Amino acid sequence: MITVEICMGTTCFVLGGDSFSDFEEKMPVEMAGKVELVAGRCLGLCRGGKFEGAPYVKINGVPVGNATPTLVLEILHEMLRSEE
Amino acid sequence: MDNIQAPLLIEVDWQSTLKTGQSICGDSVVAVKSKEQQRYVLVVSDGLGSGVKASILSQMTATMAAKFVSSDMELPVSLGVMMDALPVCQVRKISYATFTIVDSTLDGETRVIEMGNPPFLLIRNHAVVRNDSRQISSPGWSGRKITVTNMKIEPGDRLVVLSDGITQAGLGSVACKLGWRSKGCEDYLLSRLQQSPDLSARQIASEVVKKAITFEPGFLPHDDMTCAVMYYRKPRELMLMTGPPFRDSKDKEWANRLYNFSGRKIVCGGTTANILARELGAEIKTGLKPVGGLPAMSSMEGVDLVTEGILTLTRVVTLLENNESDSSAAAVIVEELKNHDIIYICVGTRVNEAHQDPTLPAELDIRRNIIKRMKQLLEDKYLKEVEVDYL
Repeated sequence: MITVEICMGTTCFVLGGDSFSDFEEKMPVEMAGKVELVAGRCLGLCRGGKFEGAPYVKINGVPVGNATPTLVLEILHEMLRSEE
Repeated sequence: MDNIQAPLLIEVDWQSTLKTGQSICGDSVVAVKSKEQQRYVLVVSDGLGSGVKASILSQMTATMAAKFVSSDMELPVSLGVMMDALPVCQVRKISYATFTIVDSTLDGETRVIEMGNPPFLLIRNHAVVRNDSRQISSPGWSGRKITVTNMKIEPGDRLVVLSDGITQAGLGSVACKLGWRSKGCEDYLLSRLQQSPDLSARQIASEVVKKAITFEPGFLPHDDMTCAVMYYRKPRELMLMTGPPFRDSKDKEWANRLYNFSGRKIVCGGTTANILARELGAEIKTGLKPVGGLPAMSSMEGVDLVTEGILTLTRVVTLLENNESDSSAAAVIVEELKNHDIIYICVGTRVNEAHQDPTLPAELDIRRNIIKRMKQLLEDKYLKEVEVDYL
């Protein structure tokens, strides 16, 4: 199971994090049961001047900056392919 | 932080609805709270006719009455001034607005001055209490009956003031020929309080108006309707914590303050919630879907409500300013704020550097500014006791 943690902190939210609100519906059927979505109050990744990378998500604990649903889907496809 | 804890508090709230077809309410309510004297003055006035004319008459009457009574001006004199100041109706050649003035202090001493409105209701221990009253006259109000009632209020009492739109609801209809009348409203109030003894002033006012509308044919009010309630009770306390403390070393103190607070608890801010969760060993569960354009609410053991910080608080201020509601987490906070009397706001002053990026939306205001506006609104518009503490 791949865990995708989406930051719902203020900075990430205003810089595009809200576009993940319907991410679950956008996920293709083949990802069902293989990807778990979790919302985080603030992942703390934008500290220390790194806020230009917001919005952030973490995929299996690895931070991904400037995250968009398309980018995250691409990464997930890649990970699932390599698992096969 | 407990220097403003009062043994008793008067919750004042009201609800009005418009006569069908009008766009402005002819009933007016003015409430004034004097912190120094621990005194509350409430005035409900119903202007002659309806619409703008009635509204001007009632607003002038209510505003003057509240000012005069608060400044202890002699009653006959103030009534005369009010009468002289009101504009005269061109149709009826009279100037007229009924009023009920409640002048009450926290030690329970209460005076009610009434002219033309349905008699006030005092509810104590699930019964309506009748008090002796006397009539006075004023040269300016010749021919009008002015009633003054002096009484001692007890903790748990509720004093209800109605405009005639409420008592006459349904008048002439097949189902309710004589209207709802004061008696009908009394019975309804007693039965509701029997079911829910903790109903707030706001809930009562809202329920009475809603119930009155049901008596009107087609649910269309034939007159402006107002119900104002003063509820004498122990204060309800709420703590709203937002922002991380300036120094990390104070995180524990912040968490303990929230943990040890016995009232309702709200946390606004992701980092703040994370710090508190870490210090208190609690888990935060966050919703993914934004509601009403704001991040979803979260849940955390030991805290009644967890939300995002700045965006949500900014919306809270807007909703408070406009007395509005929506589906967002901010509206839930507003509801909580309205339902409590003493509000402690704990503001962590550590600045979120990410929010200072000039490319971010301008609504990412500095937390202190938002809280300052919120405090002012809660005190001035909603008559709350507010204490803000910075760390």
